Amino acid sequence: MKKIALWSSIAVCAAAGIFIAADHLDAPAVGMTTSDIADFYAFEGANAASTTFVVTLPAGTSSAQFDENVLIEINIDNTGAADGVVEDLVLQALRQGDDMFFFGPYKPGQTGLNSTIDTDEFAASVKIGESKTIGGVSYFAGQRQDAFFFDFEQFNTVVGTAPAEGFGSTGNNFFTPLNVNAIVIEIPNTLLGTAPPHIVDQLLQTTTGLPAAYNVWVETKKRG
Amino acid sequence: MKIFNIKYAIALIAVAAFTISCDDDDVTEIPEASTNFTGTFVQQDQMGRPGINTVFPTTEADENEFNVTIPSDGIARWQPTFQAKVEALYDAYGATYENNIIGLDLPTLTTALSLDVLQVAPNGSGPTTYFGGTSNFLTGRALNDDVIDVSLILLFGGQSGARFNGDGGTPNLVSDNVGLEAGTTSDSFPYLTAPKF
Repeated sequence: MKKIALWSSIAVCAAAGIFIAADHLDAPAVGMTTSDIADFYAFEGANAASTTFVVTLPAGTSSAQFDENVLIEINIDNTGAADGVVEDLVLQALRQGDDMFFFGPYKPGQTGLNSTIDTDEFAASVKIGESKTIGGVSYFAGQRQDAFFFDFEQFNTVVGTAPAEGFGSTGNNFFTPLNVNAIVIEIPNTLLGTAPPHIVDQLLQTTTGLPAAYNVWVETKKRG
Repeated sequence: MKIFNIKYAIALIAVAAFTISCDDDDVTEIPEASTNFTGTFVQQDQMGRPGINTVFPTTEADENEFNVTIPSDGIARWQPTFQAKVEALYDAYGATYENNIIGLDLPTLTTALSLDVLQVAPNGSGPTTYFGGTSNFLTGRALNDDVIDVSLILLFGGQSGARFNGDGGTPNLVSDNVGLEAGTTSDSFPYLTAPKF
């Protein structure tokens, strides 16, 4: 059973003081809690005029649920380096009962480590495990397969003991067939504002020719 | 339905409870009445680009601190740590960093990485991707992007992208030799496939 293999491996890695993945188990304070973010994706999906955000959290069993006290917040900076990289808009999701409630995108009253939910910005609620499209925005919340792929164990070996062959010539995907709790939002770009000049060009004062791009990141925030 | 409408509906139900007898049909309204969106939510974890906190901070205390560092403080707080970590990885193989495939020296690369936010381009000319070649990179992160190999190439690939690729007696430090697992993604919303337990 893969789950047993996973927890066994985690125990080995914990013993070695090594935590590694895209973000899974990245820090002891959140590892193996309902606040642990596994992965974050942002891409153009089937609709070229929209951006798709995917947030995943580990789901070790079919009964693993989103925490009703853990807010999932997608942050969008659409002004770039001019004012520092600060969230200009947030998209928020919080499970209550059998539904995921989505808010925004809206300009938060405060930025940084603490957040509240402005219920006037309620956008949609979606039954866990189902999809819904409202106002041109598509929402999903529920369990899915983990698409992330990485030879987690060999990476730990490379970092830990620097073997002469490095990764060698074969690998094993540690994340198959794991599952995650996923939130997916496909949202028209018109709701995200105008994208600023690419941060790499702004930050490094280079001219790489990269296109204008939003700066985005996700946070989990627990009700105090 | 706006929340105020939900609250209004809840109020109506509450009033109705005093004036008419409730029957089983009202049970469907109970989840709405039990929602709670109040309070202050305090940051626990954060993520922009893949693998940053799991690769670069050196200690567990650093990993915890990284998750509560706001992006605008990232470079000042973490660039020196990230550079030292990469130098240590090179030291273990008796080598030194050379400018990478997109021409970045180590201080510049670690400056970019320590601002841990992901870029996504709404009007790019190519597909949104973590790295699709030296003219289309950091324009998004797609589900099938091999972000680990990209990260390894940027860190260990040198100017050609193939330095330390296992040839000529070198260690392979530019690929973990795994790719997207067939069947985990879909071309249509929500783009991830049903779980398997």
